[in-house]
Amino acid sequence: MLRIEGLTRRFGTVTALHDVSLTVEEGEFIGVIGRSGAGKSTLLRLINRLIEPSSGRIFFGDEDVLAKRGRALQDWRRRAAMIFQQFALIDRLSVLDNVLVGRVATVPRWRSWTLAWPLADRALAIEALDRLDMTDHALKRADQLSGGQQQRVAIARALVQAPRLILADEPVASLDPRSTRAVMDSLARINREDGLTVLCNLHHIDLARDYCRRIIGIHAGRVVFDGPVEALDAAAIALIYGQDGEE
Amino acid sequence: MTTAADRIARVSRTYPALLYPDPRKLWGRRAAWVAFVLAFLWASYHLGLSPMRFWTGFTDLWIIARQMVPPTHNGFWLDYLAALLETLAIAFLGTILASLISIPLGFLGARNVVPSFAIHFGLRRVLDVVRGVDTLIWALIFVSVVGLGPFAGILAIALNDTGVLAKIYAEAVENADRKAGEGVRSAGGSGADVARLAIWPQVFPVFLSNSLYFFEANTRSATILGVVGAGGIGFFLADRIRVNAWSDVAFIILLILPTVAAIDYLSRWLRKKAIGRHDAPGARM
Repeated sequence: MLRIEGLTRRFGTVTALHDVSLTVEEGEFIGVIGRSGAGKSTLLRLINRLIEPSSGRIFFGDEDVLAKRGRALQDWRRRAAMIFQQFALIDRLSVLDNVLVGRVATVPRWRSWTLAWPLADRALAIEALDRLDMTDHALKRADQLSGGQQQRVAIARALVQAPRLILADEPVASLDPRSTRAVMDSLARINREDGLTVLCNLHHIDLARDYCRRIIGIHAGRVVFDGPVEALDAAAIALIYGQDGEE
Repeated sequence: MTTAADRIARVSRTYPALLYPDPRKLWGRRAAWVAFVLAFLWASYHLGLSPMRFWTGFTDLWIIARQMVPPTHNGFWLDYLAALLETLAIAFLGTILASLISIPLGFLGARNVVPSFAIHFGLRRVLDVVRGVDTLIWALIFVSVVGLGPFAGILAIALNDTGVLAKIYAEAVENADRKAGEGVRSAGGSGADVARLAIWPQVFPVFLSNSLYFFEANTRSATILGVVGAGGIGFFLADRIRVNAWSDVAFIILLILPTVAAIDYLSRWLRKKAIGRHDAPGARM
């Protein structure tokens, strides 16, 4: 479904991602692991087109993702929903309005700009919040919530985008262990129930083992491991995290 | 596949309070908009604001603009330059005075430094009064107290700015990160040590940056202080306007513009330096 060929991204003299090629099938739950700074974020951001590659190609089905401009690009971003480590919610808006931001690419501008969301979209957002057990907080300001709750709001926002892909960039790195479980469970459930494809950056191997069926290991911008979670043995981990066994 | 109508029906049963925005809030907001438009229309009507008068005003402005060309100085250019320098000096001294007074007041007025409600409340009310009276009014008052000249202008700027700056400084102190203070206190530092070593490095760039903004604004407002006799280029400006010597007015304005622009540029540069970059080595402040 998603095909990446020779994707490279340089920042100045640093090569963050080096000649990455991989294929993602519909409905997969993939854990992208590696040390901080290995290039995991860069990969997800490139797929969403938040940043542009230095070279390489990205295809979704027979669509050329990198050729998209304007409305087509915005529609691609809607379909490749991002979830961020720091949630990227708008603090001063209500939880419900934050979720409805996920409809920004589909709702007429006069409605989104005045926050006068169509009734059908409000219903959609409330149902998304309900799936994540967050309806009790719907009218609170986003910054009133704990980190785990904010991340679930961000997942609800991703859901109402009606995406084909979920790109979760370290979604649990700033959460406590209990919230971590809640957020990862939500992602797993969405993957199972909606058949949504999930690419999830993690730097914890244990989490990747518990939730992902396929692991992509990145070291210094290169894919050094790509296979089923069962194949992730000590040798593979040493390859991904380096010999010194840090992290 | 559920249709939108199904979904609305379902959610309106389970979460009606969420689905339909609070009507009171909705109508409250609409009422506020209506009140705003009415106030605008009323004020426009009352002050005779109409597109027609804008138009006639512009044609008069055009007549004056034509009389401004070419700008002339009639041999007064040295006096103009001296007066402009005086204007800059008024703004500079006024801002410095206000900043120096505002530093202790800012710390005194910050709730996290001085927990006493009486001091806090009293200081803020005094500042409200000082701030509530505009610089130009203070200038008029000081001209009759200390007489004509730049001294009255300096006092007027210093006083009005103190009212605003002390408040901004106090808020900066209140917004400073408390954790750094705990570091100093836990190492055996006094309250004053906390203010100097933990709070000051955080607030100094904010103080400086705001004072520079005020210096910019003051160079502009100091040009009119001369109109009421408080020194500077404003005296000449008002005098030439009074006798309709528009080409002289144009010359003075042409002197003021690059000066103000230069001050703006200088202050922006200094502000950038003061705020500092994260990868810069630790500064001594």
